[in-house]
Amino acid sequence: MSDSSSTSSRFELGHAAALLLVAVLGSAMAVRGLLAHPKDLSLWVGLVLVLGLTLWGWLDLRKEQHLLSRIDEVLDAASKGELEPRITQIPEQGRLVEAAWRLNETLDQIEAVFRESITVVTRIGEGDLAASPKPRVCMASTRKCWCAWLRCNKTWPARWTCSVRPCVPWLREIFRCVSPPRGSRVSTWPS
Amino acid sequence: MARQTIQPIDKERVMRDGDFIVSKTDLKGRITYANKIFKEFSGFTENEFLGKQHNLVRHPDMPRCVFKLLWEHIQNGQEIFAFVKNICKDGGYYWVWANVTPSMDAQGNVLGYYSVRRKPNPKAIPHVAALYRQLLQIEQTAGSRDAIEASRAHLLQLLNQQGVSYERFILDLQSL
Repeated sequence: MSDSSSTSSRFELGHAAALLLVAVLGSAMAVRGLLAHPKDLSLWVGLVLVLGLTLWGWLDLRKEQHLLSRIDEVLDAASKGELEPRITQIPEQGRLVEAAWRLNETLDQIEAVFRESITVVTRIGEGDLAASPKPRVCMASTRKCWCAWLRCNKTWPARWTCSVRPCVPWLREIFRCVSPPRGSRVSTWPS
Repeated sequence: MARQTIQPIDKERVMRDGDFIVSKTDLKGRITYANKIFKEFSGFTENEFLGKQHNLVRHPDMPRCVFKLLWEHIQNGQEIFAFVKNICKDGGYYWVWANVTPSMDAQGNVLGYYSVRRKPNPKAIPHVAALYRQLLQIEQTAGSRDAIEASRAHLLQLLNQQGVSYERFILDLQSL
């Protein structure tokens, strides 16, 4: 059993114990009153109410705990690098509903990034450089950089200002060419 | 609820820029997971789509050969891109730019499929819609048995004429 699951179990046990305590105390008070006044209708109503509310609370708690356990399991798997599992059968209402959807969305984003990165790396490895966003821009800045370098007839310290500086955009372009853009890589593929 | 009972209506839902529809299926194409935006666009509840075939959201305007191509790719462990017109529960539709990849275990066995759908390039939609209309017409003319082969042959012929692969053609359209 993982740490997160045992935390969830402890949490579940704590809530169940509190609910049981309330049910036992409420029922005991009602039963005690009924023994003294068996014909008192309000005490009967009170007893039914306590038992009914306890049952409702128990069912609600079970539902929440089930979702919490699923969140625990999915987080546990994700922490071990397993990004596939998701939380399904999420109830329409509840305190943990939004958290469960957000966890799913987070995993969706991470999994998509991983899958797309694998695709891009694989294709580059196979010699398919189509993932380059704008190769013509890269070529233009390469030319600019080399022209600046060749025209620069100064000593080495001065060469830095007159020739290396024009190459900074080129380096940026090269970096952009080899790394896919964030978000939708496909939207910028072939130019 | 069944796909056949949905009457298509001319009501388009357009994906927003950051929208990101995700769904997972098992090897037989039964939905095992779909995210909140899928629920929002399709109009189905989670209980309505879990365990159902993904063609639950297939629009009748979609030619069958596109899905045939898609299944061939992913069953071979390859990813595929496609423009897909999906139907909503109310009969409306929404276009998506779909990317489907197989999910594999450590040994490379395909366990299921993972699909991400993003907003398609609006400039590409008229071209794609025209192509799909053409393919659909060919399928209807060819009859149910030869439909897929006929439209597929036409699609391959078009690609050959342009000298591009299916993937390059689709990626170029998305980059218009």
